[in-house]
Amino acid sequence: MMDNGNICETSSNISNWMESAFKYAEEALEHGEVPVGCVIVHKDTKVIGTGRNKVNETKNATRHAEMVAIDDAMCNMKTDNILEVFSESALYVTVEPCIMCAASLRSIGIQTIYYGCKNERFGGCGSVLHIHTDEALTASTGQPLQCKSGYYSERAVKLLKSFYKQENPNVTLPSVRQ
Amino acid sequence: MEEPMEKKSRLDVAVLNPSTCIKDKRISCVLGDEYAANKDAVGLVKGLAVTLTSKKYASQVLKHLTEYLPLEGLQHLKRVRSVKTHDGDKLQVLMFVATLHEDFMDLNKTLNIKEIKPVKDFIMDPMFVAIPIKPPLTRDQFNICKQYWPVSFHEDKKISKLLLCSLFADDDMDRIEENMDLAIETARIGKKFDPRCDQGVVIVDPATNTIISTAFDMRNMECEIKDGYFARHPLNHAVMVAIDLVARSQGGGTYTYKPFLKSNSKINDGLYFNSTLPTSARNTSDTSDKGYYICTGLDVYVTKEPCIMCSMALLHSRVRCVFYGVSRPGGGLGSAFKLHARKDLNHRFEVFCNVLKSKCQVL
Repeated sequence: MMDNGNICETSSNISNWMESAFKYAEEALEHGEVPVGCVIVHKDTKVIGTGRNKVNETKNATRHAEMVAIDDAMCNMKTDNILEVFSESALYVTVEPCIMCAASLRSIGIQTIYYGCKNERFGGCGSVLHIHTDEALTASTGQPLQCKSGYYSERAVKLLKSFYKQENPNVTLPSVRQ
Repeated sequence: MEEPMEKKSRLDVAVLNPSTCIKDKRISCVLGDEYAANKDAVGLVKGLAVTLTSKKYASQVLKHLTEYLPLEGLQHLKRVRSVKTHDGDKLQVLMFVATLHEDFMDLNKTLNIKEIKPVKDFIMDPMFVAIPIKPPLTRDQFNICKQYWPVSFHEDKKISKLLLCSLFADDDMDRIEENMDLAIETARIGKKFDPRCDQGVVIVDPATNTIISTAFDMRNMECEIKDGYFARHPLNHAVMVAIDLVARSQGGGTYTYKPFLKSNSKINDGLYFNSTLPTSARNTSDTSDKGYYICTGLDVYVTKEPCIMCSMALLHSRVRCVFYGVSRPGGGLGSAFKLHARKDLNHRFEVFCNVLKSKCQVL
C-alpha cells in the first residue's frame, strides 16, 4: 500500500515492527509490569523510540509504553522539530492505546497507530472512546489519527493473561478481547 | 493498562451539570449526564395503559397484574393514575412497558392476551403512553417524570447538596480556595519563565491538608528529559508534571525537571514535591494492595480544566477529587467528556468547577 507517496507499508514490515513491540512487552512482563510494549518507526525504515510499561518502576500510573517511547524518541532524535519527526512516524504497540495515550499521540501528531489487541477497559482508539478520530477534538487535540488494529492480537492477549495470572490467581482475567 | 480489580468509587457521584447549579456560588459540581434535568436522562419508552371501567375494580385488577404481569426492575413506576375523561374521573392502569413486554405492544390484541383475560371485563380503551424508564435521581428529574407517568422518588441527600452546591461548609470552602490560590500563584511563577504558561496545579492530601506537589505548564520550557538531554516536551502539561512529582515524593518519578526543580524545593517555588513524607506514608490504610496508584485519596487543584490526556492521567492515578477554575474546549472533566463520571471506566471521582473562576480566567 502506498502512503504519502514514499512510504511503502508491506505486511512483512508491519510484522517486523510488531515483533519488536512484543520484545518490549515481554521485557515489561519480566520486570513485573503490565506487558505492553511499543516502537515508534520513522518513515517505515528506522526505529527511533521504544517503550514498555514502567508504572511500577516509576510509581507513576501514567508511564505507559507509549509515553516512555515518546521520551525515548525525543532523546534519540535530539531535534528542535520533534513534531515534524512524529508526523512522519508510526507507532506499533501490542495493545490498543488508552484514552490518555490516544490523546497524547494525537496531540503530537503521530501519523498512524498499529496495535494488537483491543483494550476494553481504557481503550481510546475505539473500545471505550474514539479519541483518535473524534472530529470535535480537532481544535483542542489536533488532526484525527489513523489507527489499524488486530495485529497478533492473540499473542498480545496471551501476554496480558500471563501477567494477570501471576499477579493474582483469584482475579478475573482482564477484559481484553482480540 | 492497569490491574483488573474493580474498585468501588468512594462516592457514587458521577455527574456534572454546571448549568443546573445556582449562580454566584463559589463552586459548582460537575455531575455525569445521568443527573441532567432533561428527557434523555429519564429515558422515555413506550407503555400501554388501559382505563378501568369503574374505580371499584382497581384493587382486583392491580392484584392480578402484580401477580401475572409484574413490572420487574421498574419499582419506581406507579401502576395507576387518575385521568379526567368526558365521562368523569377515571383510573388508568399501566399494563405493559415496551422494554419488558415487546410482544404485547399492540392495541388491537391487548384485551385478548392470556394474562389479561381474567380482568378483561374491567378494562377498556387501551392506549400508548410515555413511560420514564429510569428512576429519577434528582428532584428536577422527578418533576419531568411526573409529566409523563407517576413515579416514586427517593431523594439522595448528597446529590441534592451537590446540585445546590451546598456540600461544603464555609471553612471547607476557604480551604479549597486557599489551595486554588496556590495553584494560581504556581501558574504565575511559571509565567515568569514563559508567558504562554497558563496552568497551575496543586495536589493535596485532604486527610491532613498537606501539599504533596505543585507544578506549572512546562511545554514551552527546556528541561531535562533524560541523561542530560534538555528539550521542550510537548506533553509536559502541568497535571502530568504534578503527578510525576507525587511519584517523586514516593521515591519514584521519571524526570529531574532540571533546571526548574530545586533540590530543596519549597511550596512557593512553582515546582515542588513533598520530600518529607516517608515513602510509604500513604496508601497503607488503602484497601488496594497496589501501592503504585500513588494519587489514591489525593485532591487536585487545577486552574483550567484538564485536557483529555491529563484527565485520564488523573483517573489512572486514582485521585479522590478534582477542583478546577475555568472550563475549556476539549476538556476531559465536563467539556468534551466527563471521564470522571463514566461507569465504563474503572475509577470514578468527584469534580468541582468554577473555583476562583475569575482569577483563573485571567491567567
